[in-house]
Amino acid sequence: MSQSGYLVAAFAAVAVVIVAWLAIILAKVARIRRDAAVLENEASGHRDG
Amino acid sequence: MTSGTASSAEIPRAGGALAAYLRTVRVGGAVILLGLVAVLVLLLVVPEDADQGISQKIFYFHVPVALTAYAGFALGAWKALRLLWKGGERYDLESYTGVHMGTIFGVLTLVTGSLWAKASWGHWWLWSENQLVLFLVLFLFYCAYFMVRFSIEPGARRERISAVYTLFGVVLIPVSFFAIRLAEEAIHPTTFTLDGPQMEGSQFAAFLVGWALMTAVGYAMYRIELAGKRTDITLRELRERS
Repeated sequence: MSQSGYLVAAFAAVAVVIVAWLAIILAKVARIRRDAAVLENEASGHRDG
Repeated sequence: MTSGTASSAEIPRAGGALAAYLRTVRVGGAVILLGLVAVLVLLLVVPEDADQGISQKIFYFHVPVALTAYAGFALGAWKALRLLWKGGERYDLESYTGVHMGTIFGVLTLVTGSLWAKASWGHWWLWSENQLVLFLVLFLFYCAYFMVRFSIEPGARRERISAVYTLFGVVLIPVSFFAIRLAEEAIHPTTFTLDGPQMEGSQFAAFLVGWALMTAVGYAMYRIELAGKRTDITLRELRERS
């Protein structure tokens, strides 16, 4: 591998790991949103019932 | 735990927690992405080193990543100390998140360091290098933290044992940091000595920028993860009551 190849590989490793972590967080945001919506539906059910 | 039903009066609590979390993710996500782009720009702008060539630029994010890993472990230990001192579930969560961030940046330190070592020394890893081995020991110690933590039932006992374990590990940080300075023969470069930074002014300025950016990225990740865990707990409590 060339010298610039090592630099690119090292920076790509940092970027890929952090962006992958961010993607996991976004999946978690979607799950938390669903949970909150379920709770809201249950509460509105209690209100109506 | 209080029994009952998640009333409509409690929904604003769930909505508030969710809104605060989304705000943290948006702001923190922007800081992370901008930070990474800024580091990339820094690498393009900073001049090439006369001795080592272009691969020396790995220094501008490898060392900041390592320092962020140390900061994550140190933050985890500080919160662990607060937990043992004052008590409180929030410190356990903060300590755990700090250690988690330290571990993520620890992986990046080992990967980027290994690539730089191969480019500079021709070896992926040298067992004779104290700094490398001690950092690996520190990293593995905190990897084992997760095994210890999740082998214990959640509760006060787990919080105390996790906190004590985190505090034991933090002792390795100064040992790891000073190992290179105490070693008589070492191939790993000593950039910072008592005489100051052993580099040109422009290189040192670029390093400081890289360090500030990586610290901001690490702190944003810490805040996002912590906010997510807190929101999870809030929603779980409300769900258990419904």
